[in-house]
Amino acid sequence: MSARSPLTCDDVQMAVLARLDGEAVVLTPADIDGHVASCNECRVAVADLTTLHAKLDRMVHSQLDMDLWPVIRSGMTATPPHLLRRERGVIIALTAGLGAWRLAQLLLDLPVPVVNSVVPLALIILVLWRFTGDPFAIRITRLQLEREGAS
Amino acid sequence: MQDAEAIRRCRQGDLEAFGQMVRRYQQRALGHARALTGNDADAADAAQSAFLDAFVHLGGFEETREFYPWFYVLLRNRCYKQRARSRDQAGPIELVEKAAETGSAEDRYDLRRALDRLSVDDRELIVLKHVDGWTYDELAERLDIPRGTVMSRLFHARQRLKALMAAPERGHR
Repeated sequence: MSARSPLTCDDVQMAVLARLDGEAVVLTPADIDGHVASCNECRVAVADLTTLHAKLDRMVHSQLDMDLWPVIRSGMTATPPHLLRRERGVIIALTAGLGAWRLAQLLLDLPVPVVNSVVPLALIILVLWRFTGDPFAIRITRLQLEREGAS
Repeated sequence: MQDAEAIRRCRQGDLEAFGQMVRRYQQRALGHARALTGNDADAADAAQSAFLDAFVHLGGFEETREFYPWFYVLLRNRCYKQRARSRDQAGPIELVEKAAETGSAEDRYDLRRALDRLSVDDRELIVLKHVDGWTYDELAERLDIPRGTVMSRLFHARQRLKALMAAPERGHR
């Protein structure tokens, strides 16, 4: 005797839709068709879903008559001032952090020498990461923009 | 120019190569953004921002993968941010028939109106499945959900769509 739990209408309808989608399903065709043949509710639902599926498959995106590139390109050109502000922030933060560290060294006479070199380095990395984001990301330089503009 | 070549040139800072990528994918991106944001202006803003994100993060793109699925994740994030910013309900979806329709004009109107009333999540799944033809495995990978969840969510989305087509519209969305 099979230990499988009895099929619910949802199981069968989901499998029918997956089959219409061209996807592999766990239920066998015999399981599905047998249930649908014996269940009036599923017979009606499957007919409706099959019609809906066919209608949906005929839909396409309407074309938005829009060219995004000029705006994107001008957005790229407008980037440098923003980057400059960010870079200024990075420099100020680094200077303040390192100044505070140097002051702490002078005032507190820190006892662990290795910390003296590791902390400023960690601070630099943290601040750069925080303010400039992914260090491997591509940046557009003013030079590149000028070269692009000239060509 | 193929995607791989264009991306290689983009990474070297070639803006025109990136322009070609934008023009190649912008209609598709706008269609998806329209489905997720519900209006043309937000869709255009989200798509523009996503293309800029893509340019900035091309360094992290694996060339062995397809561009658009990778880009779609960026686009989706931008659409959600755009919607949060505008705080509006999604507007009507813009889909049209791709071939001569066999059903009545009323049927087509009902389907589009029902799609408009679906939640953005349901609408996104249906569009990606039926309009873009993504498989369950592709949906699972690109939306970062298990395959079984894709199957179940698609089933319930289409059930809700069927119910909306059968039910008369009540008040505001």
